Amino acid sequence: MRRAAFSLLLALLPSAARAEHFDIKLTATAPDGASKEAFADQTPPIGGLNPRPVLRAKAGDTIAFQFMMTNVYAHESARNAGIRFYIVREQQLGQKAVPPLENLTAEGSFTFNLKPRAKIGTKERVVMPQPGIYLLRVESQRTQRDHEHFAAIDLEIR
Amino acid sequence: MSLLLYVRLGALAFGVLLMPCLGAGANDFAINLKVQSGGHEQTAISGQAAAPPTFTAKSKEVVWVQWSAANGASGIPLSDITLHVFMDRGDPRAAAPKPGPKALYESALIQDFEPGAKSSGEFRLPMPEPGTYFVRVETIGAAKKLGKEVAAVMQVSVP
Repeated sequence: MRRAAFSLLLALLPSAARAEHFDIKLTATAPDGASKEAFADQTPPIGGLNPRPVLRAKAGDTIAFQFMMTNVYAHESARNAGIRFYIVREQQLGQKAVPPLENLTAEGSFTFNLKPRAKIGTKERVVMPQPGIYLLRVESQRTQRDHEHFAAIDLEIR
Repeated sequence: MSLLLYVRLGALAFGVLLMPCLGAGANDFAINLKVQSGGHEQTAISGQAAAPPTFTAKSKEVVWVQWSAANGASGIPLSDITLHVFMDRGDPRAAAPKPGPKALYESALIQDFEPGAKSSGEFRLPMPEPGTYFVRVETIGAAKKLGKEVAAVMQVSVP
């Protein structure tokens, strides 16, 4: 049974392979089953290159999100690298600038020595308490490169 | 679909071999877990308490969970350790607790712990309805060299 699950998950790996040094697959799901996916983008430029998908839900809904990040470099490490994720209000859908990280609806981070082929995954369920436009974003930090990677989804809560 | 299985599979898929070296002690490897909100906090340290400490929070109150895992300077090198963290409803004293499909939070990362290496993480989230919850931070894969896995656990009670 467990091996069957492994095989199924392995089959998913190629769909996430779209980035330069970090593969990211971010998924957000609403209670009605609606789901959006985002993959690795990079900054600079501010806000990245890809348009963000929009997940719509209602105030009081529980949004389930999950991300999986893989360091696709086979031979390079980074000490004290980081990953941060958060949900924060923004002014409008698709805005390029990341809003000030204040009054976050949810947030988390990791600090660790990033090894080649490292994988980091998180899933979380968050109740969206109020209507508004929110940014769900996961991003790499301190990877000792000239750019960082992220994936993001807009949440429109009515 | 299990997030943990996904991450663990990654290590297996890349062909990393873990070399057993049973017999070494786990004393040099420690996990610290801290939960705080509303101006108070509670700490759990791996291997120090028979019963998990309890942190009390209010419904809708945002709790801040922080953990760190460190291999002592005199520790033995550990490869491909999965650091698994989850928060779910239930009794933290249950044998081998696992996160359910509605766990509030779950994360897993694979890391090498050379002597002196450390990793840390945190998350903040509002507590949902009243109930008994727990946070568990555990290693998976350390037993191959340490002879046992290492975990720190805390109960979070929402009256």
